[in-house]
Amino acid sequence: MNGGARSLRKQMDQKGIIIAPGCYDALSSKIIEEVGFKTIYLTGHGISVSLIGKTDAGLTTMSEVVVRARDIINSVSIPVIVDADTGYGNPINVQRTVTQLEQAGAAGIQLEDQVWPKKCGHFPGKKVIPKGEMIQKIRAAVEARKDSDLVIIARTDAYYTSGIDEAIDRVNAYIENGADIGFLDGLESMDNLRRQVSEVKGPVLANMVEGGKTPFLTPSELEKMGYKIVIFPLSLMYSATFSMLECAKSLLKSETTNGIRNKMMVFEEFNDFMGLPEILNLEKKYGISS
Amino acid sequence: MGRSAMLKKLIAEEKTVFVPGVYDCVSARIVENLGFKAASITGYGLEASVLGNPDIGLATKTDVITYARYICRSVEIPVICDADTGYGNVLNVWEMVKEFEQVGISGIHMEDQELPKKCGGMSGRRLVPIEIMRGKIEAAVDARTDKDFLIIARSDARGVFGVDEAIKRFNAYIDAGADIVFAGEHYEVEELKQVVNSVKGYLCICGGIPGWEDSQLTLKDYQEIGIKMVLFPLVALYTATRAIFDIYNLLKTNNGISGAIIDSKMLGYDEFNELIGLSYWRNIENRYLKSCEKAV
Repeated sequence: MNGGARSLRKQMDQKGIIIAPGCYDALSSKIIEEVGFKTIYLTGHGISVSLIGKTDAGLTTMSEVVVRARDIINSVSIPVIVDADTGYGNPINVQRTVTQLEQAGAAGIQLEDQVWPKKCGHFPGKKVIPKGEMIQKIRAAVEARKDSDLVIIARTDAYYTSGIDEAIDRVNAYIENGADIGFLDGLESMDNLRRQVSEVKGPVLANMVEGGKTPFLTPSELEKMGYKIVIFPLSLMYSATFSMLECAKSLLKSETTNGIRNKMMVFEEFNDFMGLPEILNLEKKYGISS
Repeated sequence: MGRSAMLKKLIAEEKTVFVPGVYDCVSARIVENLGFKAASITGYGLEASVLGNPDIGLATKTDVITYARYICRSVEIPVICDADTGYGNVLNVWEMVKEFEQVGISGIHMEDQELPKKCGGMSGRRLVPIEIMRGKIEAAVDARTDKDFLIIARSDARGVFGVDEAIKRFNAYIDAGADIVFAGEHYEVEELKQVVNSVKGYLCICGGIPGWEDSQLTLKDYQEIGIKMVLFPLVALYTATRAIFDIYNLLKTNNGISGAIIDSKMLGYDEFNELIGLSYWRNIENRYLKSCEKAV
């Protein structure tokens, strides 16, 4: 039984849009949970950046994603949707990916129809595999899950290569073959966003990337349009990068962080947030002298 | 001298180099213990022992790097590693070579199959165009920081297209900078001679494969034919599997393991501990552990 998947299914059955900010490590996942969001999206772009210091170009392996997903899922108690890129190979690799992520406790898994190695959905130069191959991958994913509550999100990158009609056609085929949610990435206009809702025969996901190709809307606006789920995959990563740059520059320039202290969480506050009091209680409980 | 340089020297000095295959630290220690001068990690063996799968390309780069690191740490001889297709395109190859160098691997072999790959003895293999494989080899050559790190380019073209295409590909891969090319499929002995005569570089093949007579010749035969390197990817794995089958069959049949069976079929306690380096660690304990820490 997978508690995360059950919880995500429940949210899908309820009225209203699911808002899933993106995390890229355990710390960012804890922040999302702390402020009261009910769902987390683990971004592959963010894993690549924070784990190996390289952009989203298909350089991370399935093993790296699984380890990162497990650490994050263990650090929060709300459902985590994991970006599994292309599933890392053919339908047989997809099945290993789904099995490992399900074991790690993923509530949802997102698979896309790009050629491996993949690229970020808003980068140029993307290529897609034939629709038939992706259908086989979706079927493989659906059959590999042990818990039917595990949500399979099918993403197409075909808008970039072939336009909106082909993208809608593909996502509908993926949904017919068992995907639970459809996701057209890299859409460029309000009209496209509306067509994603009206022509896809299932729940749809909107991807809000600051400075990306898609019109940047609020969850309320997207809910009114008929979206079931919205992800903000890169917001925390972009914000953390901005803040860290500011801090590092300030330290370099003024030889102190005093000037930006009001923008930092400091020692005690941070330790409390990370659960030091609970650790101290456990030490007491088990007779560990400090 | 670093391990990659040792391997380079070995190749330069010996007419034919036998590189036994290993799939874990124990098999690697055995190869070193017997005095072989290099070992090769078999992807087929890793996929079997680590994942419990046939060799169909389910192991990730991370899986392979992880176990390559353990194996390199456990021996001092140079270790070559099976790098499948390079796990993607030139970007993945670039990253992979740097990781293999970091964990102490002295060379890799990479094949021209589509991802996910399959064992060279299996059906259903598909190849990438020559140009794509050339790009991967060029990337691997440029990505290495140690010029002695060995790039072995394998082609699976014989089974898919025939010997002529294989020869064409081997020469293209040598031109792209590969140090050795690898005929990792079943060839007739006459075909091997043809390949040696037509390829303008060192040739590597598989040894000890059940059913492949070209893999079952002697060192002297290979020296005469002109094969530079022979890897034995399945020997340790299949032999260990057979031995484990035999001993557990005996356990099942006899409802116990007698002293006679232990003496004849198993390594002794001290013998195994010695193989796996107990005296090395005892020596460190004796030198640095303070008397108050020592167990009675």
